[in-house]
Amino acid sequence: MKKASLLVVVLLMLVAIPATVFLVGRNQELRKRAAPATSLSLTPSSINKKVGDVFSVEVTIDTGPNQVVAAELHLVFDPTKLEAQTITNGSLFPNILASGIVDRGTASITVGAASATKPVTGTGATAVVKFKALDKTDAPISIRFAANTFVGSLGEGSNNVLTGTTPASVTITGTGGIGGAPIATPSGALTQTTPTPTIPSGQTPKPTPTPVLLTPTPTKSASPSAQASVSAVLITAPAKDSSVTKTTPTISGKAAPGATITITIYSTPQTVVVTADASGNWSYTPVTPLDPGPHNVVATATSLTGGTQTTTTSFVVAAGGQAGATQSAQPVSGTVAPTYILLAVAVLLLISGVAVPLIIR
Amino acid sequence: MANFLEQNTSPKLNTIVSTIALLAFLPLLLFGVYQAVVIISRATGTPANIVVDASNVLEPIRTDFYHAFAQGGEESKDMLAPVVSEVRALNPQLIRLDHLYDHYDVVGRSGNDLTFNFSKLDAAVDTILATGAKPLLALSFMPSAIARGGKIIDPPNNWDEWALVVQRTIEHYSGKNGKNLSGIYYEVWNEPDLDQFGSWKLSGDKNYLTLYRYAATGAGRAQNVNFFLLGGPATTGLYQNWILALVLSGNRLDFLSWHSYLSNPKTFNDDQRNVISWLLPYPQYTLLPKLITEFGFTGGKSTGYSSMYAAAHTAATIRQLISGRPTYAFTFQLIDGPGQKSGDGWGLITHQDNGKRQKPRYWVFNFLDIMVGNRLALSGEGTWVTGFSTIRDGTIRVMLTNFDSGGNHVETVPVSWNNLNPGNYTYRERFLLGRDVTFKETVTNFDRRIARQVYMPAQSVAILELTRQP
Repeated sequence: MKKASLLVVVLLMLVAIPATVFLVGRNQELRKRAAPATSLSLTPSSINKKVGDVFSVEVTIDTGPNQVVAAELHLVFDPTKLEAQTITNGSLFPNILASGIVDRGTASITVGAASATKPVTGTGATAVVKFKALDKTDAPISIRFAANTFVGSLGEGSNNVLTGTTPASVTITGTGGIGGAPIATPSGALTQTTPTPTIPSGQTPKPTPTPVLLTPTPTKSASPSAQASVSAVLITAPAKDSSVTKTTPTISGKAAPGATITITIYSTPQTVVVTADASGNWSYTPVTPLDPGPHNVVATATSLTGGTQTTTTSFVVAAGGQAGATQSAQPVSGTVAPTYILLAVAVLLLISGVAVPLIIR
Repeated sequence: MANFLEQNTSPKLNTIVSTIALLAFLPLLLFGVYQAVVIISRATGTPANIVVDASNVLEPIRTDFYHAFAQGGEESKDMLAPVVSEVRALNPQLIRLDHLYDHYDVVGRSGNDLTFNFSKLDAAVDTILATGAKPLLALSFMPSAIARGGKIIDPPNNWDEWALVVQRTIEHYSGKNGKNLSGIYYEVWNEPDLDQFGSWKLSGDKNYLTLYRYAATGAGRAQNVNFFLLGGPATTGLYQNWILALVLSGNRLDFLSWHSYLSNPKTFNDDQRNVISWLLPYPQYTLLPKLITEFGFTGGKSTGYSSMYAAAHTAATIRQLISGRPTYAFTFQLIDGPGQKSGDGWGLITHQDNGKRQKPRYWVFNFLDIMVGNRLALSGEGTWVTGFSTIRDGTIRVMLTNFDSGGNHVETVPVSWNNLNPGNYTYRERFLLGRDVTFKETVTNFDRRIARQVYMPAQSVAILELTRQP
C-alpha cells in the first residue's frame, strides 16, 4: 500500500513539474508579448514651419494588446526654437488627471481613460500640443518624449508598458510668418504675454508684437559682421520698467542710419513707422495719450539692405501725472495703508522722545 | 535740546519716561517692522497680464464638480431643515452628512441584539433630497451601543457589530426595499487622524484599516441594493501613507476622499498632481473617483468666512481645479452652528437664530456656472490674480479672481483677447456682488484684438464677457 502511494506521488510530481514549468513559461510569454506593445508617437512626424507660425502636434498612442488606463506625458524640445503654448487631452482619453503644464522646453500632462472598466485600446490621440516657431533652425530639431513618460495598463501592475516612442522632426525657416524677422528668445514672464495676431492674406506683414529681450540677441543665422550694426535697434527711452508721468512719453532709440522703425505700443495699440536719421537716432511721441498702467513697446527696424531686428521695452504711465489721462487713478498693485501706519509710528516715536518729557516736566 | 532736557528733568524721571515710552511703542515698532516685511514680500509677486487666444480651443470645462457641500454636526439635529430653499438655490449635486451614529440615535441594543431606528436620520436625508441633492453619508462615529466603553471615537467591542451597522445602513438607503436610492457614496468615518475623532492610525489597536475592512465586509453583505460606492479615508488632508495603505489593503474601494483646508489655492492643484502620481503605479486604482469631502481656507473658525475673502478663495480654488479636477469638491459648510453672531462660522448661510443670511461665498457657485464651455488658452496669470477662459455659443468669457491670503492686494490687470473675428462686440464686465457694466468694442481685420484694463479690488471675482454682435 505504501509502495502504491509512493508511486502515485512520484507520478504526480513527474507530471506536475513539467506542467508547472510550461504554464509559467506561457505566462511569461504572454506578459512579454503584452507589456512591450504600447508605443507613443508624434503626428506629424516631420514638420516644416516658418518663424512665427503656430502649429499643433498630436501625441498618438498605439496601445497594442494593453488596456491602458492612464498616460503621463512629458515632452522636451529646444526652447530657443519652439515655445509650447498649450497642451490638452486627445480624443482617446476623456479625462485630464493632472492639468497640462507648458514651460521653457517642456510640456506635460497626465490623461486617463473614462474609467477602469473602459480602458483605452487601439490607436488614437492622447494629447494635443500647440507650438509656436520662435527661431529658424540650422538643422532639424526634435520634439521627443522624456524618459519619465509613463503608460499604465490593467493587469500589468506597476510596469510602464511604454517601450517605444517616436519623436517629431521640426525644421523652421526664417523667411515667412513675420517677414523673416529674427526673434530673440522670449524670457520669463514676457513669454506669457505674447500676443499673436494673425495676418490676413493680402496684407502687408506687420511686425510680430512679440515682447522679447531688450538687448538684441543675435540669431544663429546672422553672420557676426551683420549682427553688429546693419539691422540692430535699441530703445533708449523710456528705460525698461521705468515709470513716467507723461501720458505721451517720447519713445526714442538708435538704429542703423536710414533704417525704418515700426513701433507698436501696447496695451493701447498704436502702430507707427519712423525713419532713423543720419546718426541713427529715431523718436516718436504718441499723439493719443496712453492709459495709466503698464505698456509694452515693440520696435522693429528694417535696414536699407532689408535686414530686420526687433526689440522691446516696457514702462508704466503713472496715474494722474498728466492732464489728458483718460482713466481715473488706479494703483497697479499694493495699498497706501501700511505707509500711513509707518508714518504714524514715526510721528508717535518723535513725540515720545521730545514732547512727552517736556509736558511731564 | 539734550542739555536742556538733562538740566530740567531729574535722572529718575528720565528713566521712568524712557521706560514707559519704550514699553508703549515697542508693539508699534514691531507692528511697523511686520508691515514692512509684508510690503517687501508682496513686492516679490508677479502682477497678472492676461492674454486670451480666441483661436486656441481646449477641453470642455465642467462646473458641476463644485456644487457639492458638506454639513458638520454643530447641532445634533437636521440642521438643513430651516434653509432648504436657500440650499436648493445652490443647485447642489451632493451634500455630505456626518455624525450619523452619534446624532441621530440610529443604533440601540436589546439584549444581545442590535436595534436600528433610522427615522431621525431619514428626516435629515429627506431634507437633503428635498434640496435636489443626493446624500454622501459619512459612516461616523461609532454607535455608543457597540463602542468600547460607549466612547464614539473608539473601536467597537465586536467588529462584526460594526460591519452589521454598515450593512444595515446601506440596505436602508440603497436597498431596493429601503429608500431605494442609487449612486450613494458611503465614506468610512470622518477625519480619523484627528484627535477629536479618535486619532486612528494605520496599525495598532485603533487601526483605520480594520475599521475600513469591517465596513467593507458589511457593504459586501448588503443584500438587494442599488449601485453604491464605498470609500475613504476622509483624512484631514491628503496623506500619501493613508491613500496607499487603503489602496493596498485589498478591501473594496470605490472612491478616495480627503479634506483640504488650504489658504493657498494652488496647493489644491498640487494635491491633484500628487494623488495621481501616487496612483499611477496602481492602474486599477488610478481612475478611482476622488472627492475632497470638505474644503476651505482654514479649518478654524474665521470671520473671513463671512467676507469676500472666502468667496475669492473659493473662486481661486475652483480655477485651480478646472483641469485635472477631483470628481467633487465639497465646500464646508452650508449653515452656521448656533451662537456665531461674530460671523466666524464656516457656513455659507448664517444660523436661523442669526437671520439666515447668505454670506458672500454663498453667491460664488452659481456666479461661476456661466463659465461652462470649452476652455480657451489663457496666459499671464499672476501671483494674486488668476483666472481661466471659456467659449460657448460664440461668447468668450474670462473669470478673474484677485485672492490675496494677506488680505489687501489690489491690481489693475491688462486683459487682451487675440485672434478675434472682426466685427462689433459687446463687452460686459461684472463682479460678484459688485459692478456690472457694458461697453461696445470693435475688432478690425488688422489687429483682431481687444485690450482692456480691469481694476481688481482685493478679494474680488469678475467675469468678463465678449459677445460678437450679429
